[in-house]
Parts: sequence; C-alpha cells; structure tokens
Amino acid sequence: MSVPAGYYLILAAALFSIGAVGVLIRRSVIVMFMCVELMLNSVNLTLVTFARIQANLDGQVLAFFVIVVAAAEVVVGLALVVNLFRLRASTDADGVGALRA
Amino acid sequence: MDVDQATQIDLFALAPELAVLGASLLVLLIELFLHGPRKRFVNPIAVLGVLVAFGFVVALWLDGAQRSSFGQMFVVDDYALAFKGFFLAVALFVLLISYRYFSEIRTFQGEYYFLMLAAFLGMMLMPSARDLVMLFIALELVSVPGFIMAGLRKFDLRSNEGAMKFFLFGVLSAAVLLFGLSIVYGFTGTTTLEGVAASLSAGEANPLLLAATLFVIAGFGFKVSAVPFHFWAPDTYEGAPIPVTAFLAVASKAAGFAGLLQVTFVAFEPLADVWAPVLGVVAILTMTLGNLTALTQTNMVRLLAYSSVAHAGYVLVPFAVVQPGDAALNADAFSAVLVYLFAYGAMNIGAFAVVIAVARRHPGRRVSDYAGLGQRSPGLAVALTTFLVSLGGIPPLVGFVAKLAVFFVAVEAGTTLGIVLAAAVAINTVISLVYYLRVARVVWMEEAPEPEPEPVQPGLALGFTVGGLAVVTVALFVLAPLLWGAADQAVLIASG
Amino acid sequence: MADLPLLTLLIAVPAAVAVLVAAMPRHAVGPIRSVSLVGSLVTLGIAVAIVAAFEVGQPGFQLEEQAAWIPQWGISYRLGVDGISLLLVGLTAFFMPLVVLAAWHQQERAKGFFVSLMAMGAAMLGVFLALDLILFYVLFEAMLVPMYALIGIWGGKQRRYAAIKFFLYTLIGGLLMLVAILYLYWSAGAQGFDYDLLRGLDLTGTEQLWLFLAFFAAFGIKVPIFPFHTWLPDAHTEAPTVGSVILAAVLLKIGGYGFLRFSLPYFPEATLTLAPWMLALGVIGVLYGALVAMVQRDIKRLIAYSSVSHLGFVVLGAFALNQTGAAGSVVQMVNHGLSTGALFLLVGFLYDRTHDRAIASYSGIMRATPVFGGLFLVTAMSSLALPGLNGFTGEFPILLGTFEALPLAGVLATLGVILAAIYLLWAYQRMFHGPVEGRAVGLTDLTPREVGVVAPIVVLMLVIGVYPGPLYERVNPTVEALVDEVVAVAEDADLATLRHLTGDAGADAELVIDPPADDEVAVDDEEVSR
Repeated sequence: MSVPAGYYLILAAALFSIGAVGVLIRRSVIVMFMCVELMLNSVNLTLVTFARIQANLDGQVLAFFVIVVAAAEVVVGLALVVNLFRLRASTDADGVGALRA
Repeated sequence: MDVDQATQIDLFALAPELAVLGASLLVLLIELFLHGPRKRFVNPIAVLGVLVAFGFVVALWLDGAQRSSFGQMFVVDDYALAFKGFFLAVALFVLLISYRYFSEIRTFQGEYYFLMLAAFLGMMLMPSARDLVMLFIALELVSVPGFIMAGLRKFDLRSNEGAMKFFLFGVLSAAVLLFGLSIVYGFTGTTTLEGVAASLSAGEANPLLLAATLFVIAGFGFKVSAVPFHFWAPDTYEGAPIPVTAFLAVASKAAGFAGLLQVTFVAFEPLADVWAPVLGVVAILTMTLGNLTALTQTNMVRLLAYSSVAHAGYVLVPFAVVQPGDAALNADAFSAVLVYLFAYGAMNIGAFAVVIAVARRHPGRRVSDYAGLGQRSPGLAVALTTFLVSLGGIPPLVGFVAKLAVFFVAVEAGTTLGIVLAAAVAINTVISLVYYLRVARVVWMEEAPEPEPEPVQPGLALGFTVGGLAVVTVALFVLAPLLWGAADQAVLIASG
Repeated sequence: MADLPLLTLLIAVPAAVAVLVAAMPRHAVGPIRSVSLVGSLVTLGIAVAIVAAFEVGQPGFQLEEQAAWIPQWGISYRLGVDGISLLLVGLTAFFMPLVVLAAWHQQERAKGFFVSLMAMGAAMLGVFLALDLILFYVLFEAMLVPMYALIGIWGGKQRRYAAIKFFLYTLIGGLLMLVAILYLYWSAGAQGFDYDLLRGLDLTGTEQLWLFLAFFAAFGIKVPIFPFHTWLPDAHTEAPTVGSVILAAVLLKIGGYGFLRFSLPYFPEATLTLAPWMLALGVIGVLYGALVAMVQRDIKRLIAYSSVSHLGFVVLGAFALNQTGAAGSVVQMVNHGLSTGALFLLVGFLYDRTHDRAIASYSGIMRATPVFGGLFLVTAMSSLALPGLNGFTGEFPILLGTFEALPLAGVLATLGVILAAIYLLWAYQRMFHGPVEGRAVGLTDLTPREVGVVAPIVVLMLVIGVYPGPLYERVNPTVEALVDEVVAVAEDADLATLRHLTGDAGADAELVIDPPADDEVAVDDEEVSR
C-alpha cells in the first residue's frame, strides 16, 4: 500500500502556501522565520517527491543543499534578530520605522 | 547526474575561485594576529587575492579552451570569464573604497573582508553555473554574506533594520525561487540548464510550469531589485556601510542579472513568449518607479539607491524582447545586457566612491552637503558630474553607449512592446536627468555653507578609484567597440 | 595641405584646447584666455583652409574622412562638408575667437568658462560635419552639458530654471530623433548609420510621416518653431552674453541645418505632405515672434523674440521646396547668426556697464556713446533686412521662394519684415534718440577690444550685403540637387499637394493653409494685447 505521489505534492503546496501567507501577515520576526522554514521544507518535500517520480537523484541532492543553506540562513537571521533586540528590545517587524522613504 | 563525472575536478578551471577562497580564509586568520590600527593591513591581502584570481582569469582566457568541472555543473567559457573578469574588477574597486572607510571605523575588518570575498566567490560561481543546483548555491553565497554586511554598523538602528528587511525579503524570495526550481525539475527531470531547455521545447506548455518559471524569475528579480521586489533596496542601501551599498548596488545586482541571463536565455528560452512580456511590464514599472521616487530624495545614498532601481529597469529591457528561436535577436539582446552591466558598474561604483569621500566630511549624506563642491574639491566634483551625466546617458560617456545598446535591441525587435519599451527608456532618461542634474547643480551652482567646510580629501585608494573610474567612463565611450566586442564574444544562448 | 585631415583637425583643435585649459591651474586666468584665443584663431585658420580647399560647383560632400568606430553595428566616424555645412562651419569658426574676446574679462570661474566654450565649439563644428547619424546624435547631445553649464553657472537670476528648461527640451527632441534613427537603421537592413546609406529608403507614407515628426521634434525645438519656442527667450535672457551669442549665432542653426540635411532628403513624401503645415508654422513663427518682440520691455528678450521671427524665415525657405527658397534659407542662417550675434554682443556690452536691460531705462545713448550707437544702428538695420546689408540677401530670396510656393504665406511673411522694422526701430528710437537720460548718463563708449569684437561682424555684414555671390555660389549646387531630389520623388508619387508646391499654385493650397494660419495669428494677437 503506497500513497500516490500527487498527495505529497498537494501537501507540499499547502505547506508552502501556509508559510507564504504566514510571512506576509505575521508581524513577529521569529514567527516569520519559522514560516520561511516551512516554505523551505515544503520545497524539500516537493524535490524528494519529484526525485522519486523522475527516478533520479538530482532532486534529493538539491534537497540536501537546501537543508544546509536553510541552516546558514537561520544562523544569520537569528544573529540579526538578537542585535535588533539589543537595540530596541522588541522583535516586532512593524515597529521597524527608523527608515522611511 | 553521473557520480563519477561529478567528482572529476579540473583545478585550473577552478583556480580563480580557489584564489578568492584562499584569500578570504587567509584574511580571517591573519586578522586574529593583528591588533589595533594594524588590522587594516588585511585589506591589501584581500586585494592581492583578487589580483591573483584576476591573473588566473586572464590565464584561462589566454588558454581559450572551454573547461568544466563537477560534470557539466561548472563551466568556464567566454561568458563565464567575461563576468568573472568584471566581478573581480568590481571587487578590486570595492576593496579600494573600503580601505579608508573601515580602517577609520576599526570594527570587524577581518569579518568584513572575509564576507566580501565570500560574496565575490559566489558571484564568480554564478556565471559558471550551468545547473540549477549550482545556480542556487551561487545565489545564496552572494546573498547570505550580504545580509550580514548590510548590518555591520551594529550600533546603528538603521543599519539593523535595513539588514533585517533585506534578510526577510531575501529568504522569502529564495524560498519562492526554490519552489519554482523544484517544479521545473519535477516536470523536466533534470537540473542542467541545457537539459531543461531541451525538455521545455519538446513538451507542451503546462500552466504550472509557466508559473514555476515566473517563480524562478521572481527570485532573481529580488536580487536585481526589480519592482515589485525592490522595497528592501533603498532602506538597506541607506543603512549599510557605503562600500557595502556600492557592492549591493553593483556587484550583487550584476550577479543577479548573470543568473537571470542563464535562466532566461538558456533554460527558459522556449517559454520566452510567456515571461518576456511579463519582464517588459516589470522593466517599465521598475525604471519609472525608481526614477520618480528618486526625484524627491534629499539623501544622496537614497537617491543613488532609487537610481540603481531605475537602472535595473533599463537592463531588463533586452530581456523583454527575447523571442523563442530567434537566435540573432536574442544574441543582440544578450550582449546589450552585458554592455549595460559593464558600463553601469564603472559609473555607479565611481559615484559611490565620491559619496564615500564626501561622507567623511559630511556624515549626513544629504544632497545639500554637496553645495559648492565644485569650488572646494574640483577634482571630485568633475568626477561626480561625469558619473552622474553618464548614468543619465548623455554622450560622450559610456552611459550613452549602454543606453544605445538597450535602445538598439528594443527597436530591433520591431514589436509593439519593443517600441513601447524604447519610448519608456527615452522618457525615463529625461526624468532621471532631472535629478542627476539637480545634484550637478548643487555641486556647481550653489554656494558652500558658511563657514566653508574644508576641502574633501579622498586619500590615495579612493582618489585612485574615483580618477580611474572617471577615465574609464570616458574611455569606454571612445573604445565602445572593445566593450561591444567583449560582450558579443560572451553571448550565451540556447543552442539550437 | 590636401593630405591633412582638415575636418578632423577642425574638431580636434578646440577639443584639445578644452582639455589643455582644463589641465591649467584655475588662477592662471591670463594664460587660460590666451590659450583659448590662440586655439580659436587656429580653428578659424583651419576653417579658412577648408573654405579655400572647397571646390565650388560640386553638389556633393567634399574633404571626406572616414574610419570605422563601432563596426559591430556599423557606426563609423565619417565627416564631410558640402555647400550647406560649409557656410555654417565658417560661421561657427568665425564666431569662436570673437566670443573668446568678448569674454576676455571673465573673472568668475574663468577656467570652467573657457573649457565650456571650447567644448561647445568642438561639438558644434562636429555636428555640421558629421555624416554618420550616431556620430551626429552624439555631438548633438554632447553640446548639452557645456551649454547647460554656460547658462546655469554664469547666467542671470533665473539661470537654473532656464538651464534645465533648455536641457530638457533639447534632450526630449534628441531622444525622439534617436528612436527614429534606429528605426531607419533597421529599415535599411541594419547595414550601418552612414548618411548616404539611410538616404532614399523605401518607406511607406505613414512611416515617413512618423519619422519626419520624430526628426521634427529634435530640429523644430532647436530652430525653434512655434509652439516649441518657449525655452528660447528664457535661455537667451538668462544666458551670459557669450552664451546668447553662441545660442543665436550657431546653436539655433542646427535646427535649420537638420531640416535641410535630414528631413528633406530622407522623407521627401512626408515633406511634401507636411510642407503646407511647415510653411504655416514658419509664417506663425515670423509673425508671432515679431508681435511679441514688439511688446517686450527687456531689450535682450526683444532680440530673443526677433530670433524666433527671423528663424521662421529659415523654415519658410526650407519648406518652400524650390532652389531660391532653400538657398535663401541657408544664407539667412548665416545672416541671422551675424546680425543677432552682434546684437547680443552689443547689448552685452551695455549690460556690462549698467546691469540693466530695460528699454525704458535708456534714452539718448546715441549722443552719449556715438560709436556704440552707430554699430548698433548698422546691426539693427541688418537685422531688419535693409537692402544693401546682409539681412536682405537672405530674406528676399526666401520671400521670392515662398511666393512661388504659396503666395499667401509669402504675403504674410512680408508683413513680418515690416513688423521687424517697426519693433527694432521703435526700440532703437526709445533707447538711442532723445535727451541723454536714465542709465545713458555717464555711459562710456566701447573700448577698442569691444570694437574689435563687433567690427569684423559689421564688415562681414556690409560685404555680404553688397556681394552675396560667393555664398550662393557655394550653396546653390548642393541645394539644387537636394530640391531636385525631393521634387523628383513628388513627381513619381503625384501627391495632391504637388501642384501647389511646384509653382502651379491653386486655390486648394490656400484652403489648406488658411485656417491654421489665421486662427493662430488671431490667438497670438490676443496674447499680445493681453
């Protein structure tokens, strides 16, 4: 008994959409990070599923790179958040207003 | 991807990248053992690394053979070498304009130069990347150090906010890009650019696939700060240290365009009917919005930031006239993009170099700080005017050659969109001259405030950069054939 | 001698002087102006050599020079001179030493001033010589920055506004022309931008019309033709004396030159179709300029509007589409350059002394400063086309040609000549006659240097006035060939307007021309009376 590949893709698309909406509507930088992570992981799921459908390994290779890059991005992002928090004692993206056109 | 093939490594082909990598690590290491003001000596090490890498690029060019490494993921051909040479030249000038700035701030010099070299490493991988995986890695290698560098002025809230904005937009666009890549891979079963093109031209267009190509293009659109992905640019540019701003406005943007060139002209060429008009609309919006917003700016860095958004719009014009299968037209469009990018690099870094020099006296970076510069520091004033007029596209400067190249292909396409784009470029050129000339007017026609500030002293490295780039800006107009010839040599379009 | 690349030298010498002056220390005003003067005299010498080497009676280009520049896109460096450009090149080179002399006492930022002046000279000479359209465009635009600086840095109170207005007007026109040039390039099979290559293309009527209008945008603004003239009075009034002189004597000629060089031979069908409209615009320019000049209180503005009027004649001559008119139009460009240039110089000398340009501030100048008054009188007479002076030798053939093409336009244009006499003599009477009052009190007469600047122009006015033959000898062959070419196309095409424009003037033509001319003039009258 195997789950059809299409289901994985639908799940991945749903995760991606949830993540995208989250980034756009949430205001806490930490939650926005988490949503981006969700998007990246949905991409991983898509890649692995397609690798299975296409019966080659390229997708899985790319998924590994995505995992590594995502980790690096989180490190940088959290560093920025920590520094911002030190200066402002808030992680709210809306309050970021020293720069206005 | 054949595993045996993927592990075959041609060290000569990788030599420029290895040199930059080595220099970046060396910088990080040596900085640990230097103290106080002596930390600034890491800059010459970085410069040396860039020069060595440049030497290898020249050697590879003289060698002439097309080389590849890691299977076909990493290719060294004329296109890659042209961009690598350009990036290394930009790296050299960015390092030169960084020297005084960072040696006076005295913070994070080791980290800064390491990150800068790492970002340039990513840039050098970009034009060689002929595989979606490699392309993604190169893009991230350019982006991630950029996030940190934009926030290097840790004590300044504006720098932090700019970096945060940059970061959030960056990761979001990376995710969108990846999702697009994953779907493209899913439909074509391959990650090589040529393979994708072959598969796309064989199969019929699927709406999901079309959406995926637009996702990928949007990901690069962020990197080149095209409307509507440009919101980060002015804030990040204003907050970042000015040498980093120059880096973001020129190098990072050019890298984005390099990636976009490979994706659109090679991989997605068969679907040009779909994405070219979209990019046409994006181009018009980008140049118009960038220019109109720049009109109202009173901060010099923000003005240049919006001007650089507008220039991204001009560079997008040749993309918009691409037609599937029309090799002659596409080749012309491709070389127009290269001509524009090379010209843009010279004049924009020059402009930022002057801004750095002036910012030493006037940290506020207001346009009004430039009043009477023509009297105080005529050399800098002449150079700044040259750069601005060139950005405006007035002959006899290289900016005109660049605009001409874009005009050329737009009219060559002969389509309604092409004519509309040419008209949009013409109108925008006029708008942009209003604010470029406003700065020139302040420089030459307004009196310096009392008491008259001291003359701006740029110092050796900055002075060399400003003077050298001013000469390049003029010389590349007369020597336009060289620029054009190089661009024509470097054209890379889908074979067949 | 014949082997020397004279045309390249003609551009290279002022350009090299500009670079040389730029490299000199900015406090060395004396050496700077000496170098500029020597450079401009050398330029004039080269121009004289070119005139001497020019073979009279040949319609085509002479002394050609050619080299590849951007071979990828067929952009070349090609220079050449024919009857039309010869006179304008001579005019430009003639004025260069004069403007340097006129600006001799320029102290404020003298270095930049002379650099701009020399750069302008190089670009203007280049524009008249360029026979590659991209080269032409490059030089056309390259004039913008030095001229912007001349008006914007050294101009009057409203200089910044005037400078940016001048810049944007010219730039917009130029860019439209660039688009048209690129369109021509692709229509011609993407061979190159050579002048002859893009000539006589097989374009449809609609294409010609649009391309004509795009070129018209560039040249019409430069001339300037009503209603694109609004930048001119501002630029003229605010520019420093030398800037006004360059503007009037040379820069505006690029418009008329462009019509004859590009619009007519490139788009003959469109030319024929639009000729009645062009004649109408020319007449409107003549009358409008004259009427507005009449009500000016500022003498410099008066001369600026008189320029609009006189240049309307150039348009009339060019689009009368017969040899008499076209040749007259070229000669009129030279004459207008001489007389208006001299008027601006004289007004500049007056302004240097009193810093007042209002006509009402002066009375009895003639008695206070007879030399100045005398020179002004001769120049004004030349400007209003008194027979025996140079103005007449251009305007009369233009009127003849216009009559031949379209009698009504000829009649109305003649009215313009009368109006010119009225506004110039009226202003002259108010300022120069009567008791010595106002600012004229204590006015010192011209210095030898100032006389030396104006005298050569006045001499030339007298010479051309009595003996214009040499000018026409050189212009006629070129213009004849040009007009023949356009008319030949017209005969092939058998266009509706043809009958009226090749002599057989009928009632139809007047119907075409009547409404716009009358309407516009009526509007102008209203404007003036307000």
